[in-house]
Amino acid sequence: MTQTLYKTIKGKAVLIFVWITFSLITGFSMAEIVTTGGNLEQFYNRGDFFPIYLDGLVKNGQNVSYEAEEDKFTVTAEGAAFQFNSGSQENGWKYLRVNLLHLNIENLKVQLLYYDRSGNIVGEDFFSMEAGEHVYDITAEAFSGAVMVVNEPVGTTFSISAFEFSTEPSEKNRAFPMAAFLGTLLSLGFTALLFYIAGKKKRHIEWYRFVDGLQAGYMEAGNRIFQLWKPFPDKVQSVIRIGIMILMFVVLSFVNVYNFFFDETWHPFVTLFLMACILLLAFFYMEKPLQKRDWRNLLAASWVVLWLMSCVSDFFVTKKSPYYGFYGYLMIFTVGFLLFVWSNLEKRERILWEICKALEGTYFLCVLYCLVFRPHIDGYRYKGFYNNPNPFGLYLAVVTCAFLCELNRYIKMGKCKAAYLGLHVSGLASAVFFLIKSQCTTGVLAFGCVCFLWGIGNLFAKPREERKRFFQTIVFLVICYLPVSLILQWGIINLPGMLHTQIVYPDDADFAWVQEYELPIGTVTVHAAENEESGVPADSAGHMLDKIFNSNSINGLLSGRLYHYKTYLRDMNLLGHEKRAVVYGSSINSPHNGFLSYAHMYGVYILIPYALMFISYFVRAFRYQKRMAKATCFSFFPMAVCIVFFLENMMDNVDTPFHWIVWFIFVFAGGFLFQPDESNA
Amino acid sequence: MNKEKINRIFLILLTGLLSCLMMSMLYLGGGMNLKCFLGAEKVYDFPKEDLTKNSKGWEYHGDAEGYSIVKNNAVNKYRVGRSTGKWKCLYITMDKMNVPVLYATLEYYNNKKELLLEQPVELSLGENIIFLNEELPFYRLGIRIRDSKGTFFSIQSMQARSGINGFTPKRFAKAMIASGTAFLLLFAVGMLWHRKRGGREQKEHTGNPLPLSVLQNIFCIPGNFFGAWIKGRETKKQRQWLLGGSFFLLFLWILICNATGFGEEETYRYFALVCVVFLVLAALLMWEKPFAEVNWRNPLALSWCGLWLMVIVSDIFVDAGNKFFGYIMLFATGFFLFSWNQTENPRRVLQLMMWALEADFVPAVIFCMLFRQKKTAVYYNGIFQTSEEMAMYALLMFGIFFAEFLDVLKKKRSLGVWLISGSGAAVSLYLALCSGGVAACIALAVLTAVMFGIKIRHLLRRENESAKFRRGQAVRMLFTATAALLLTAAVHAMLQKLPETLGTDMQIEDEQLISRLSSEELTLYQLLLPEELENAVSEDTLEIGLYQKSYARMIGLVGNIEQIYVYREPVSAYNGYLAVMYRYGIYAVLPFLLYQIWAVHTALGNCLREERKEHLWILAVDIAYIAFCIGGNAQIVWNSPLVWCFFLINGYSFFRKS
Repeated sequence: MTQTLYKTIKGKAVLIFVWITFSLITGFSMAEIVTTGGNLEQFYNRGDFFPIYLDGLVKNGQNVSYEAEEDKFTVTAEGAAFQFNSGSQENGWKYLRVNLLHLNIENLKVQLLYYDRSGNIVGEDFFSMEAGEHVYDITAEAFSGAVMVVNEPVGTTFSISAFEFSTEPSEKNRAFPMAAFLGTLLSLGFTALLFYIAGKKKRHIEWYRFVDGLQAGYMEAGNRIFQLWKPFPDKVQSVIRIGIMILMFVVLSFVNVYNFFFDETWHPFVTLFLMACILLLAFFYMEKPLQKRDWRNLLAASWVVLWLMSCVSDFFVTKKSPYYGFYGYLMIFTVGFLLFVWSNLEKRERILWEICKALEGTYFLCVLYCLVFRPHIDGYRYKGFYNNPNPFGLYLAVVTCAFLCELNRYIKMGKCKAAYLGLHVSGLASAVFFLIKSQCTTGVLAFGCVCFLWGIGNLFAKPREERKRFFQTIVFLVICYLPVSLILQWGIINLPGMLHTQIVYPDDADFAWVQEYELPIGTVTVHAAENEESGVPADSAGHMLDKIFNSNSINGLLSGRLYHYKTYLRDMNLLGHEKRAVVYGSSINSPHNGFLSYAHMYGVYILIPYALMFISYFVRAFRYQKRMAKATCFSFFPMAVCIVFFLENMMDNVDTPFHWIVWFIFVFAGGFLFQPDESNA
Repeated sequence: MNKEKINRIFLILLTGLLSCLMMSMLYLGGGMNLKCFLGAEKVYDFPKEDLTKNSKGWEYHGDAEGYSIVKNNAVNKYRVGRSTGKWKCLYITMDKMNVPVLYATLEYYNNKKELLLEQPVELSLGENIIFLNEELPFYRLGIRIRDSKGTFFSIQSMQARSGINGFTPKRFAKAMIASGTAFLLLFAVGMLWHRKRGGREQKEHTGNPLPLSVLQNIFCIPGNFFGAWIKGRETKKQRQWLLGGSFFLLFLWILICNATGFGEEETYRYFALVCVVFLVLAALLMWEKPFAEVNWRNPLALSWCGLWLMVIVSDIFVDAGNKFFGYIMLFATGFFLFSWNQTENPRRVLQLMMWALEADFVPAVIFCMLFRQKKTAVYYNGIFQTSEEMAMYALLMFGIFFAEFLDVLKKKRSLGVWLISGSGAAVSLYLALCSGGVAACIALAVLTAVMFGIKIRHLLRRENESAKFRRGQAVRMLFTATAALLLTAAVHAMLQKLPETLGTDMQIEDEQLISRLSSEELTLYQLLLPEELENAVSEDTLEIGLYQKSYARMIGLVGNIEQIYVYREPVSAYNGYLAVMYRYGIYAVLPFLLYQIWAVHTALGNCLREERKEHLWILAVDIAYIAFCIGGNAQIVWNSPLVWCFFLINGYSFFRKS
C-alpha cells in the first residue's frame, strides 16, 4: 500500500516537475526571443558586441594605475589612455556602454579614436562620462580597435565595472521579466491543456518499448559473445576488472595532462580505447546469459532520454572540437551495455567494492607518482599528477569517498584488521593533505559536505559500539594526519629533486596562479581559479575560508565564474551548439557548470532529463544507503559520489563525457543504481 | 575451389599489394605519416599556360615549343599556390636549351608585388632542383634572365614543393620489390605455421560471422515489431503499392536534391534522414513473416559489409565532410537488404524498383525539357552539376529500358509495354550520348554488348513461335521504332529550344561545363557565345593524369577530406579506386574492389542461369558503375541514383534460397 502510494506520488511529482521545468524553459526562451528579436538558433539576440573586461583595461592602460583592493583607476600622468583591439575585421559597433563608479570628479572627459585593421583613424568621438551606467552613440562607421584618451588631470580616480562596444543599444531589457512571466504562464496553460486532451483520448506512449528493444539488443550481442567466452576463476576476473579500471583511469590522466582528449587527431583513439576498456569490463563482468531487467525507474529513464536528446542534437548540430558528437550513441550502446551487464549480476555489491578498489589503486599510483615526479614548489598550489590544481582537487574529493566507505567497514562491522584500518586511515589523511595542498575550493566544499553526512550518519548510528568505533576512527585519523602529512610534505618537496626525476608538463606553467597574482590587478580568469577581487595572498593557509567569507562580490566568491555563466546563459538555443561560447574573446572557456554546459551543448530542453537524473540519482542513492547500510560498508559510496559530483558540477567542468575520472565514477555509481536491489538487506 | 577460397586468395593478394604500396610510400615519404604516406607536404604544379606565356623579354614560340629571350633583362613571373606560402624546393625540368647553363635570378614577391628576395640560380638541361628560402613566405616567383639575349630554352615542367620529393620511379620500384619480398616471406611463414597447426583440417565456417549475426538479430527486434504492425494494418496489395511508392520517392528525393543542391554540407543530414526513412519504411513494408537470421557468409555480402565498416572507421578518424554515410549503408540499407532477403519473391522488389525509376525518369526528362537547355558544344548536364553524373543516370535508365526491351522481344506483351521500353531506351540512350564522355561511351558499348550477348541465345531460339506471333512482334517493333524515333526527336528539339523559347532556362549552382571540342575550337565558340560558354572547359585541357597523381600523393591509412587542388582549382580524382583510397584510406579499396568483382560475377551467373530482365538490369548497373569507376568519378557518393542502385540491388544476391 505504502509502496503504491509512494509510486503514485512519485509519478505525479515527476510529471509536475517536468511540466514546470518545461514551462519555465519555454517561457524564458520565448521571452528572450520576443524581447531581443532572437530566433531558435540564438534565443538571446545581443547583436555583435565586444566586451572589455577589467584585466583588458588594466593591461592596456597607459599613465593610469590600478588599485586592486579599492578597485580604482588613478590617472598618474598626462595623456592617460586605454587601448582596445578586437583583433578581428572592422565591426559596425554603434554603441558604447560604460558603467563608471567611484568618480572623484563630476564628469570624466574622454576622447575616443577609432582605428581600422591597418591602423588608420576612421572616426573620433568626445564624451563627457557621468557616474553610473550610460550608453553612448558611436559615430565611426566600422572599426576594429579604439583608443580612449582620458582628458583629466593627474589624480583623477574612477572605476569601470562595464565597458562594451555593441551593435545594440543596451543589454538591459525591462520587458524581459514580464515577458518571461507571461511566457511561462502561457506554456503552463498550453501544456496543461495538451495533457488534458491527451488524457481524454487515452493515448498512452509506451516509452519503455525502446528500453526493451535496447535490452534485447544488449542481450543479443552479450549472449552471443558469452557463448564464446571462457571466464577465468572469479577472483582472477575481479583482479582483471580492477586492473582494467585502473588502466583506464591512469591512461585518462595522462591523456588529460597532455591535452590529447580535445585534440582532434587523438580524440578518436582515446574514445576507442575507452570504449574497448568498457566493453572488456562488461565481458569480464558477465557471469551468466543476460536477461531483461526492469529499468522502469526514473534514473534509467532520465539517463536514456538525456542521451537520446544528445543524439538528436548531434543530428542537427555538427559538434566541433572541443565539443564532440557521438557521445550519446557511445553512452547508450557501450556504457549502457556495461550497466545492463551489471544489472544482471547476482551480487552487485561487489561492483562498488571493485570501483572503490580501482579508485584506491589509482590513487596509490598517483601518490607514488607525485612523490617521485611532481615536486611541490613553494608559493604555488600543488597540481599533483595533473597540470592544474583544480582537477587534482576534484579527483581527490572523490577518492576520499572511497576511503570513507572503507572506514565504514570498521565502524559498521568492527571486524577489521588494524593494518587494513591503518592503511585506509592513512589513505584518507593523505588525500586530505593533497586536497588542502591543491587549494581547490570546490573539492574542499564537496569533501566537507560528504564528511558532514558521513559524520552525522555515524554519530547517530544506533548501536553504541558503532558510535564508539566512529570516535576511535576519528581519533586515529587525527593522529595519523600529522605523520602522513609530514612525510608527504617532505616527499613532494625533496624527493623529485634528490632523485632528479621531476617531470614538467607542457602546460604546467600556465596554471601557476602565483604568477598571475603578481599582476597588479584583480584578474577574474577562471582557470587560475582562486584569483579574485578580494586579493587573498597566494599561499595563505586560510585561502579557501577567506574566499568563502571575505569575498567582496559573488563573482569573487565564484572566482570569476559569473562571467562564464552569464555568457553561456546568453548563448542558449534550442538544439545546441557546434562549439563553446566566446568568453573573454575566445571559445576555449567552459561554462564551469554542468547544467549550463549540457544546455549549451545539446539545447535547453536537455536540462529536464539532466535535472531529473540528478534528483533520481540522489533519491536512489539515499534509499540504497538507508536500506543497505547494515549489509555493506560501500552503501554510502553512490550517495557520496552523487553529492561530490553534483557540487563539483555546479562550479567546475567535471561533466564532460569520458573526460575525467570523476565523471566515470559518477556514471559507474549511477549505473549501479539502475537496477532495483533485489537482494535482502 | 569454392567462392570463399577464391575470395580469401583475392583478399590476401590485395592486402599484400596494398601493404607493399603503403610501406613503399612510407619509405619514400621518409617518415611515419599515416595520414598521408608520402608526407603532408604541399605540391604545386605550374599550369601549362604559365609555362608557355609571354612576358617582358620572354617570347614563346609555339612551333619550336620554347622560349626565346629577346631582351637583356627579361623576366617572367608566376603565381605559386592559392595563397602566400612557404616553399622548400622548386623543380624545373628544362627540355631544350641552346646554352649549356642558363644563369638566372629567382625573385620572391609578396601579394602587393613587392620584391622580397633575389636568389641566383643556374639552370641546365634536365631536372633542376632549386632550394628556396623556406623561411620566407611568398606569393609570386619571378625568373629573371639578364644579359642572355638570344638564348632559347623550353620548360617542360615546373613544380614547387614544401618538402623534398622522395619519389622516383626507380626508388619506388625498389621499395615495392623489397616490401613485396618481405610480404611473400611473411606469407610463406604464415602458411607453414597454418599448416603445422592443421589448418586444412579445420572446420569450415558456414554461418554468419559473429558481428553480422548480432547485427541481423538486432534487426529482428524492431523489424518484427513494426513489420507485424504494418502487416496487420495494410493488405498485401497496399503494401506493394506503398513499397513502390517509397522507392519512387527515394529516387525522386535523390534527384530533387541533386537539382536543387540540397543535401550539400550542412543540409546533408536532412537528406540522409529522408533516405533512411524511405529505406526503413521499404524494409518494413517487405515484412511477411517474423524475421530470422539469413546467411550472408558469401564474398559479395561480406565485402559489402566490410566496405561500410571501413567507411565508418574512416569517419571516426576524419572529422569532417559528409559523415554517417557508412552508418546509413550498414544499418539502414543493411536492414533493407536483410528484409528483402527474407521475402518470398525478391524479384518483385526489383521490379518495383525498376518501375519506380522509370516513373522518376518522366519528371526528370520533363524537367530537362522545360528548364535545362542543351548548350552548344558542351556535354549535357541535365539535372546534375556535371555531365558525367547525367551520363551515369542516363545509363542507369538505359539499362532498365533496354533490359525490358530485350525481354519483350520474345514475349507477347501489349504494345504499351513495347512503346514504353523502346522509347525509354531511345531517350535514355540519346541523353547518355549527349552527356557522355569516354567513360560513358565505353560503359554504353560494353553493357549493350554484354546484355545483347546474353540475350542473343534466347532471341535466336525459335521454338514454339508461330508465324503470326513473329509477324505481330515485327509490327510492334516497327511501331516502337517509329515512336522511339519521334519521341527522341521531340526531346532533342525541346532540349535545344524550349527553355529558351519559354525563358525558363536555369543554371544549377557550381555547374561544370565540359566541351568535347579542342581548346582552340572552344575559344572560338566562346567568342561567339560568351555568356553561354563562359565557364566551359575543353575535355583536352583536363589533365587527368596529374589529378590522379595529386590524389595518389595524399593517400593515407584512414583517409582524408581536404579538397585536392591542381593549378589552384579543385579537381576530382577521375578514378573511383583512387578516390576511395584517398577519402577512406588505402585499405578501403579492398572491399570496394572485391564487392565489384563479386557483384559482376554473381550478376553474370544469375543472367546465365535465368534470363530475366531484372538480372540483366543488375548486370547493366554493375558494368556502368565499374566503367565510371575506372574512367570517371563513380565512387561512394550519395547523390547519384546509379551509385545507390549499385549498392542496393546487388543485395538481391546476398542470400538466395536453394
